Amino acid sequence: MTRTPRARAVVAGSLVALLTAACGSSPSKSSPNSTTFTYWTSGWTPAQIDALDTAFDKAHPGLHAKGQYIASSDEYLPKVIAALKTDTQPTVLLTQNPSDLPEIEPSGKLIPLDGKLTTETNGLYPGIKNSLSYKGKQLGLALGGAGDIVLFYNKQDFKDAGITGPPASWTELAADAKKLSDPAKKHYGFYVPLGEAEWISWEWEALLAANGGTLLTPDGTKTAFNSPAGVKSLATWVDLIKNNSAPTTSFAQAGSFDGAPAFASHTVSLLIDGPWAVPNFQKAGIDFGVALFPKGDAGTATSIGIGVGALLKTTQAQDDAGVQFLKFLASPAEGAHLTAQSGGLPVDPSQLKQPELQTHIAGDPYYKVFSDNEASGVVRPLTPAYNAVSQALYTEISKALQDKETPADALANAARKGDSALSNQG
Amino acid sequence: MRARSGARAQWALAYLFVAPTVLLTAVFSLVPLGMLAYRSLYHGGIFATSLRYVGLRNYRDMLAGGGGHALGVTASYTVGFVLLTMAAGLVLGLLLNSRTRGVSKLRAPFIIPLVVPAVGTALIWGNLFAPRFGLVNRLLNAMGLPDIDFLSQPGPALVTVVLFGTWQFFGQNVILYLAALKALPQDVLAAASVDGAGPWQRFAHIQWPMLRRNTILISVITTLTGLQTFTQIYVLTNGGPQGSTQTALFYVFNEGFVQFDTGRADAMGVLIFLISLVITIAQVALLGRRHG
Amino acid sequence: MAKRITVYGMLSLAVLIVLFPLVWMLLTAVKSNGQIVNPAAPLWPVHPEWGNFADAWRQGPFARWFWNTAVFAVAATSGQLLSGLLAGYAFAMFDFPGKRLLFWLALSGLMVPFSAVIVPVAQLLGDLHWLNGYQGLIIPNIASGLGTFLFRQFFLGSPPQLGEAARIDGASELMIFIRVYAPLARPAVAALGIILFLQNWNNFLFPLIAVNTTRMEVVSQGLSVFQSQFTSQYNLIMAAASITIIPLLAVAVAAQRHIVEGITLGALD
Repeated sequence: MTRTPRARAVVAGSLVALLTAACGSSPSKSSPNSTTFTYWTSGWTPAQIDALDTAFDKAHPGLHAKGQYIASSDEYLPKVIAALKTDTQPTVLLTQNPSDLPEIEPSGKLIPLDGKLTTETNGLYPGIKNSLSYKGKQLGLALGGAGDIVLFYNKQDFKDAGITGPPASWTELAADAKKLSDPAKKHYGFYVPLGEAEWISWEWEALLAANGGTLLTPDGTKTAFNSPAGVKSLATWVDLIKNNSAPTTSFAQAGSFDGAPAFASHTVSLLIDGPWAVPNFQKAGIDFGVALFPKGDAGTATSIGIGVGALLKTTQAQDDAGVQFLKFLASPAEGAHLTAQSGGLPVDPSQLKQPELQTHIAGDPYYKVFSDNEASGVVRPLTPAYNAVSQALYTEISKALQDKETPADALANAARKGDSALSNQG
Repeated sequence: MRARSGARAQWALAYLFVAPTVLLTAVFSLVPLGMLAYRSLYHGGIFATSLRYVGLRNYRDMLAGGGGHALGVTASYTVGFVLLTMAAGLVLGLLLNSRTRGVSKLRAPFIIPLVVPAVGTALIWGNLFAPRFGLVNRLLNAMGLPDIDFLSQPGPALVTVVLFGTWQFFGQNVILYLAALKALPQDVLAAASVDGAGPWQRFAHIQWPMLRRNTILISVITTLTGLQTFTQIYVLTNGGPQGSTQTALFYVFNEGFVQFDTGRADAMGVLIFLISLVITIAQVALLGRRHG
Repeated sequence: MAKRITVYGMLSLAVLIVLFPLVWMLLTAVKSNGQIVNPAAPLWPVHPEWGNFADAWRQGPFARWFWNTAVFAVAATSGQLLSGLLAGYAFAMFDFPGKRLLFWLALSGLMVPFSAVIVPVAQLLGDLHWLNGYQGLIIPNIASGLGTFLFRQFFLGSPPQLGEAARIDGASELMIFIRVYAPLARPAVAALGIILFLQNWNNFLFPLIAVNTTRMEVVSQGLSVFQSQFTSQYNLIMAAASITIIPLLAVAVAAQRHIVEGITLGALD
């Protein structure tokens, strides 16, 4: 009778002791002539991480890269902040959310890259290069494998409706969408992204740019989207829904708001989406083509998403190795490799000449459109207030799309919230 | 009380017994809470080295800046969650407790939702309630009813989130109610049966009054679980649409790690603790009174 | 007979509601992505893609995640049961100065919203050099407000005469606990153990900050990683989610006996 609790105590106690002993010795082994450093990523699979580590180690005798996959991009930041607070940060941080960088900069442990990677930085597309600095400091380096968004259209639907080609402008798109829609059969021309997520702001920012608008003022201290170009852009979406040319229900799934299921399930004939959606539509057996993001008043435009690498303070030897690692990632061959591996776009035009990327492009009939559109792309501005501005924007866009507010009121409200966030944190 | 005449040796034993719980709670819950409460009175980013004392300004900002709304959502969510999980727990507890042969074999299914990671179940729920291709809407269509966009309209989204939370957690209340029912003195129930009381009378006049203390106890636990709901909402709705599912705890995460307004996040964190404490004290006071 | 049919009918309906989302998950795991989003497709998998399970398994170190989770959940649950049993007993049976305050202190752990204290907790673990180890995962989770609370209720409801009798026989307080009351609590240990184990198994946020390496990650974290890496491959995500619950189904079935026995043997009140 008495054995149970006592035995339990002994078992629990010894288990803890055992585990403590087992974990007490830290695994860091460093011989004098070799430096091991870690980097965190949320973008690559374990196999890709292993391959990259091997390639880097081979090219840099004495240096050893150790990649670690960290949660999704949403849970990334709490971990990074916790690590910085406890001095357990990696040497190199690879993140899909550049706006995290100005947020962690006050830790004093983010090393600006100015002067360290000059050649690599100067080779980037200008729009991308300009998005890497905050308050005069270069906080990160863009990584190969950017993404932009273009117009997907269902070829069969277009043929059936007797339309010869994809729309080149939003005016044409509205007319085509009307023709392609059959609300009685729950088929619609275009998918306007519904719901509340960063995706909606991001897709809309491309439309805003196409109409000649910008998200923020040039100095980044105030919002600029509450402009005639902004109101016109939002009205374009609102009208598509009002005219029964777009579904009124969201097709968000598993945290993705791009509306890919609407296109894959043949509910809509037109969709704005990125290169990652291509394989899914192919698997779903859709006969589709891609075209440049439709023109607004200022021509075509697109939103570009980039991943960046940043250097964090660890030991001097590790930080030096980290610079080598960033150089390695940005080298034309490795940059092209990362680009081809992700199916995304180069951040540096020289990567396009690399054999690996050329082979990839040759096998992908859709690549050229994405790549052509990239030249007119805008990148999210680097400010810690970006998330707040985006949240204000998508919340209000959503209200306008549900006809609860006029486009003008929605943007005015979003601008007010955005400006207050910028003045608090900008 | 069961006070044994105050031997000091007994005190020593008592302190020894409570020491692990009290010390570990103090170190790993109250120390961080104290750090949080301290920071909630100051202005400065998460890495700021020099903090500026601002009194209760963060609390005012928080309540005005969406925090009040989030508390309202939390109240609706928690009330719905507590009522549904407790009602389901009680009904199923009664059914599983009935002397019908073989029913005890049916206990295991109810604990299964508790074991599935919320990340996984949230994805299933998102798929089931998706527009057009989601199963629920396909069933509605098959019955000739219109689609409901469950997750992009404020009302339906909150209801869906409550149902999801209920589905995931009510098994805990089944276990607790079943335990309570099994503990009721069987002779009283048997006597009532002999007197010709039907199942409803037995429940209304005997079981329910005797279950009151258990019900309060279970409500304490369930309320605290409801107030702490986070992952379900994070994955299923991300607080939307229009903040309609933004609960207090989600607000903490959103302000702290998305909007980067740590002052508001800290203030809300402290407030959640205080609210939980007040509710629990009230419930336990009720428990004490019943106990006499 | 009518009563039996009613009871079985209602229970079956409840079981159906409870299990349906999981069955749906399994079905979705073997569908093609095209079929998942097609509103006109049949509800069952047309061409079951059994390979999705193998694909999902290959994409992540599931075995490692299971091991870490099991170590974490078993150790934390044992610790919680033991500390809760001791503290609950003391709060119910002894009178000592500061009892009320200490009881609320023990309970307060339940009320601190964890996502609000992520950063302070991480700092604390860092100061202790406990990040990335089992001790950092387990020790902070050993105190259980829930365990303390429920065990206190249990002992308040247990018969005082047993202790009195032992005391007359000259038994010490420690012996009375070990010989008389602790064995009585066995059913409560079983019922509570199940609840605590499940909570620990699903704890997501704590391991998220306490652990930084794939080697040390737990299942719920691994699944989240999986979700973010394969957003467009919904069937693979569902296959991964299915893999994570299979061992738990086994645990649930095994625990079934304990739910039955534990609960029929005694009271939780």
